[in-house]
Amino acid sequence: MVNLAKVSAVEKLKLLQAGELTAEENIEFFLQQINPNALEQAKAIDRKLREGKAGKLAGLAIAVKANINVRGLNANCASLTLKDYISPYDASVIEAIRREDGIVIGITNMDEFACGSSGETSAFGPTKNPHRHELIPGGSSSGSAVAVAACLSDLALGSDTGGSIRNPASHCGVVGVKPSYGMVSRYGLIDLSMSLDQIGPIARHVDDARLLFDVIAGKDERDATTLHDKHDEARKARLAKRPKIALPVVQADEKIITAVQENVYRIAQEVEAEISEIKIDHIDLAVQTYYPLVYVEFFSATRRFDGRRYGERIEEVAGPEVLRRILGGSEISKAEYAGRYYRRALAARALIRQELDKIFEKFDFIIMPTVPRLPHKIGQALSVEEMYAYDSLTVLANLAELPAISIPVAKINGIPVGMQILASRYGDGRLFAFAKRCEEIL
Amino acid sequence: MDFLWHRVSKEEREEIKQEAKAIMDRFVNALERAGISDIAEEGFLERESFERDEMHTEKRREEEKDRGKRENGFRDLMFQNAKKVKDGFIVAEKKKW
Repeated sequence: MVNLAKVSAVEKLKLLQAGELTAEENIEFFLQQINPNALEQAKAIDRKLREGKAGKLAGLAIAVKANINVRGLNANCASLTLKDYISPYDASVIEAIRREDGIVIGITNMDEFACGSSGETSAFGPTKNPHRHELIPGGSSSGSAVAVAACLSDLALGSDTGGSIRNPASHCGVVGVKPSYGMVSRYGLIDLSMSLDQIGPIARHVDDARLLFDVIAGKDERDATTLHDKHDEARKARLAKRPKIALPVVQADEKIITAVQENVYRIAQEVEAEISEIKIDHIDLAVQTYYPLVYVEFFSATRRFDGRRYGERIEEVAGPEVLRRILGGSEISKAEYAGRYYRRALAARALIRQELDKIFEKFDFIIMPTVPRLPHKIGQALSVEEMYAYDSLTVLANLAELPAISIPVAKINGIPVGMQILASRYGDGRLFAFAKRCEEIL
Repeated sequence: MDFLWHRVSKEEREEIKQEAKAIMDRFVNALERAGISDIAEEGFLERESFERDEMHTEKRREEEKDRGKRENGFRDLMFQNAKKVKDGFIVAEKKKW
């Protein structure tokens, strides 16, 4: 039996043409490389389906971002640090998926250690936008968004710290959800910033995202931030009869603002919603608040990558953006800077949270564009602050621990554009119900 | 600069460090100008029970039993990930790097 891993494509063609290898065998070989267990799992689930005993995700293929541990697969975080690291355990979300007979089809590319908003910083090569291959797909859950957009899987999991699910969902024309902080266990997620990270679903339709969310959300003793009693409340999908929508003034490409606003007014008419244009105090400080927190928390999170028990020492093999955050985080964590950076950013975060809480006393939803600009070309030169500015509209939900969803709303020059909807904390059910209604209207 | 991954030289590493500090300074100056003080609230987490109680239900105890069966092989995978193994120990030389 020929070893298909060692055969060149040209040699393989000869084998195929000679009938010594079938196309089916060759494709099956590649599927085995992606996840050797997937087909066996599928057969076992087929038996359960025939017996009527299958779970809520029975037989569905789910792609998983490479910073989520899936036992036996390579959780490399798109970094040489962990390029050979085989996960010894399943993250809680993966256990939940398996309990409901979902099948992990494979691990997806991402920005290295989730440090990015473009999908370019992976040590294994950039991901391409399936709508326009020369453009970025967004990040950091780039591969997960692309897998769903390009129909390589039914559903996908990503992680969102400052927009890393919603940003690529917008650029790729799919649905991406960041749940309320504490709705989904982070046990088994290789963290970027533990006070901001959440795992969430990416799907082609709101109902599909809801299906996966309902499975992965819940209490987990292994993640203390999920130990509250809000999960039932968060699942309830009450949609107010005449929802009140806040439309904040934001800085973004005019075409994107117009595309979102036109559709918001159309939706409002259909659902008889009231719309008010508002101003969010401190919204212009969102990025300046977010990044000091991420730098410090990421520096702390990466101390374990010392190359001793597994992997490589991160400082020796990481790419520029990861190093920037580690070295910057190390610098501003020093005792002589106590208060100046991290505590000040925490204080700013508290103000932003209070501001958004006040808005939700009067409104049911906040709607705005997901990203402030269209995606740039892969490899295009940008300053660091220009790259960070991609997050300016998404970080608000992370800073205030709110649920947020991006749904496709329009295309500009063939490039998808997403509309972001935020709800109050633990209003995930309401958010899904309203987003579904918007999707039906759009 | 572009954001494609590449190996970082020692010279570039120093540039990145200086740049990171400069960016943080600009960000924090913006917060200071907006009048944001460095006195922050403590964490936001609110919950009723502050102690972990992993075995408080029968269901939880059953789940833990199942986990024990599933995690056969955990040790093997951890050893597979280790750079240096000797006599059933992962060898990590202190201060080697």
